[in-house]
Order: sequence, then structure tokens, then C-alpha cells
Amino acid sequence: MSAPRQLWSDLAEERSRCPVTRHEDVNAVRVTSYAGVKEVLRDFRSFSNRFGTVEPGPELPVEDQVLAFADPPRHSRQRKLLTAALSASRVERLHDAMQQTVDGLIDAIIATGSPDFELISSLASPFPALMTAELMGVPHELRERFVYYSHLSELSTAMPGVYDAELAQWSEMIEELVRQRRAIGPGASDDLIATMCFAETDGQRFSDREVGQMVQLVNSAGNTTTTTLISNIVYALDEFPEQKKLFLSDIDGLVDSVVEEGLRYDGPIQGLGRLSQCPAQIQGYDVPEGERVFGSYAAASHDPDIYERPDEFVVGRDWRKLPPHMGFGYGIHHCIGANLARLEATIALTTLYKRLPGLQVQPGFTPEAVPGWTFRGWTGMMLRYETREHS
Amino acid sequence: MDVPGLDGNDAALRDQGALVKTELAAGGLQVSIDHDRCSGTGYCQEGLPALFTVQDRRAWLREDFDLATADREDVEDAAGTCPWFAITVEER
Repeated sequence: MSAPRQLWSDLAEERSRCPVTRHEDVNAVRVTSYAGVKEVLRDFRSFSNRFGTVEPGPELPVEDQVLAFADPPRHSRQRKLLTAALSASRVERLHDAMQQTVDGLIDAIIATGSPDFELISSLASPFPALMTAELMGVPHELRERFVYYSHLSELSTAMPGVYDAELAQWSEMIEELVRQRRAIGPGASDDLIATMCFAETDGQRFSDREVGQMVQLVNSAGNTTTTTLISNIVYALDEFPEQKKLFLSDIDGLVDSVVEEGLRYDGPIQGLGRLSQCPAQIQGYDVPEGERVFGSYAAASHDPDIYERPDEFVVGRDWRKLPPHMGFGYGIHHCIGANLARLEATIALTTLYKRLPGLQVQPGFTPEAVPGWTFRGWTGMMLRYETREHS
Repeated sequence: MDVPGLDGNDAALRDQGALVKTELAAGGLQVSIDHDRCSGTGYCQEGLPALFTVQDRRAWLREDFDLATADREDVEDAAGTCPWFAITVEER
């Protein structure tokens, strides 16, 4: 499945015409209203995740049913463990390491002496991948390879089979990390892999395979999405210069609001699929059993019934009064890396705009959209800032 | 900003004087919110806005909620929607 980046106006047109209907292009019932997407995501009994969520197909082998690819009660058991390890307060402990990592990457950008750089390869991609490796407790000497394999695993969603040999090596690397922790025993480390190895719910521990699958999923679901969130926000700020000016007038005070609006306005996930387990209804539209359903998170977050000026990036929306956006999905599968992603995006954007004066999308540069229905992002983002020599 | 719903004009309940807390007990029921786990999804507030309110990315309990006469099932249903397992409802 490949498709051009969907325009807000096209999504608005589809939502106002038929917000729930079957589309051959995505081979699914596509849902574009906030109410409809919410109805699907709330009804996890009718709409299952264990057949995959990118292109729901045959039921996944049971040991591969983890987190986003699992249904309750299996899902709840896994999620309970990870939510504790990825809570806002636990993630906050990585704050200094995150700041150091971002500063190091920006030092390297400045060191080139050029006013032009590509955001994704120089910062937005390595930063979250390195932080995930830190969170997992991957030894420093393995990090570069770990990050490389993680990147290949994300590419493999678009090109299944191409990287199987390398991904087998990644699995081996993770299995070895798991074996080492099991051998040392509980209490030696509080990294995420150790936490998963020794966590018990109802007296049960995860199998090595389950831990391995969760490690891979946290990487493949967490890294590129955060990369995309950062670069989408940088691009959106240039689309709305008044809002950018407002942000730059009080970076520390407004960055939370900018990240939240970024998640709503142009979140990294365009939409995800479910497979119906029984005849069901979405906003009164009949869905047969065994049907693919694609919830467009992008369209739901732009629903004019929910948000004023939905197709504009607005800094300073009052989120205490607004229904939650779909940037992290909705319901029991609410993005488990939400706290991590928020903090990473906050630190990256604050530091970029504070350290690189006049930062903007390179004049004349037109970014290319990432193909496919799942992600909403750009393949590259050329930026320019004012170096001393050029200012 | 001159947009309805975007003005942020109604000050946080907390600013009006300690109207929110993380524990509330009455009528043999205790509700608590673990702010280490809460990630501010706002689902609890959507489910039962009379009891739950989200401020500064955390859910809080409104002190003016009459827990003693509340329908326990309503409270438990709203608490049960938390995907971060941050809300506990217990008898006491």
C-alpha cells in the first residue's frame, strides 16, 4: 500500500462526505471522524490488534502477540509492567542524558561550519534511537550496531523480507542481552531489559522470546515516530510564521504547548488498522466479521467538531478543556512511549531553537513525504541557521 | 487568542484554592491517583468530569465531588479507562 501524503482538505472532504466507509486504496473500512475513530479504539473486543496493525492479516503467533500486537488480557499483563518503567517520573531520570545527547549532536552540526544541515540524519533520527538504547541498558560498544538494526527493522515494515539476515542478528544480540541479565539475576540493574526479564505479574514472568519481541517493538514503534514528531513540528512552525514567532518569544514557556499541538496537527502516525472479530458497527455503519478497519488518527485530530481551526497549527490551545488528540492513539493502547516522546521532543526543540539562531527550513527546499498509510512524515528536512560568518 | 476554547481564561481550579487533590475518601470508598504513573491522557475526565480534572498533564480529584452518594460503578468505570493504571478505587 502506498499513497501520497494526504492533504488536510482531502481528509476534511472525506470526513464530511462519508466518515466511515470502505476504501479499496487502503483495502479497509477507513474512519475519518473523531467520534468514529474513538468508537473503534474503545471497542477492543470487536476490533482486534493481534492480527497486526499496519496491514492486519493472519493471526500472529502467540509469542509475537506483544503490546500493540496483543489484545487483553495478555496485553494488560505486558502493559502494566512497562507503564511503570515508562512513567513520566521514570523517564524524567533520563533528562540529563537526553540534554547531553542533543547538545553533542548540535555541537557536531555547528562544528561543520556550514549554515545548512539535514535535520533527520544529524539529530532527529539518532537522538531517540540512542535514548532507547540507553533506556534498554545496551552497552556503549554495541549501541551503534543496535541503532543500525533498529533502523533496518523500521525500513522492513515497508520492505518486508529485505533485511531478514540483519534482523536475525539483531534478535541474537537482544537474546544475548536477555541471557546476561537472567544470569546475573534480579536487582543488578534497573534498565528496561532487566525490568522486563524479572517483572512478575500473577507469579508469571515473560519468556525470553516475549522480552525480545517487546524490545524490538519499543524500538520500531518508538524511534522513527519521535524522529518524525520533531521534524514535523520544525516544518509546521515554518508553515505558520506567526505561531513560530510566538514560540520563539518564550521557548521554555510554550514548548509543551508546541509539542502537544505538533502531536495533534501533524502527529507521526497517519493511522493504524484493526481486524473485526464479529459483525460490528461504527457510527451506525455495518462492519462484517473479519474486516480490516483503518482508523485515521490524522483525520480524527483535525475533526472540526472537536477542534477550532483544525487545519492550523496553533500554539497555546487550552488542553485542559479540549478532548485528547489522537497523536498517541486512544484507549487501552495509548502510546506507551508517550512520556518518553514528549520529553525528547521538548528537549530537542528547545535546544535547537535556542542554540541555532534564525533556524528555518532551507529556502526553496521542498520535503518529500514518507510513503505508505501508516506514517506521516518527511524523508529529509534541510534546515538553515545563521552561523557567525553568515549573519 | 480570540478563539473559543483556546483562551485559557478559566483559571486552574487549583488556583481558586486547594480544590483538587490526589486522594479522596468518603462513604467507605477511597479514590487515589498515582502521579508517578498518570500521563495525562484525560480519559478519566472524559468519563466522569465531575470527579476528575486534568491540569498540567496530570489528573486530579475534585474535592467538591460528592463521593459519598456517587454511583460506585461510574467511579470505577472512569478509573478503569486509564491506560497507565494510575487510578485506584478501594473500599476503606
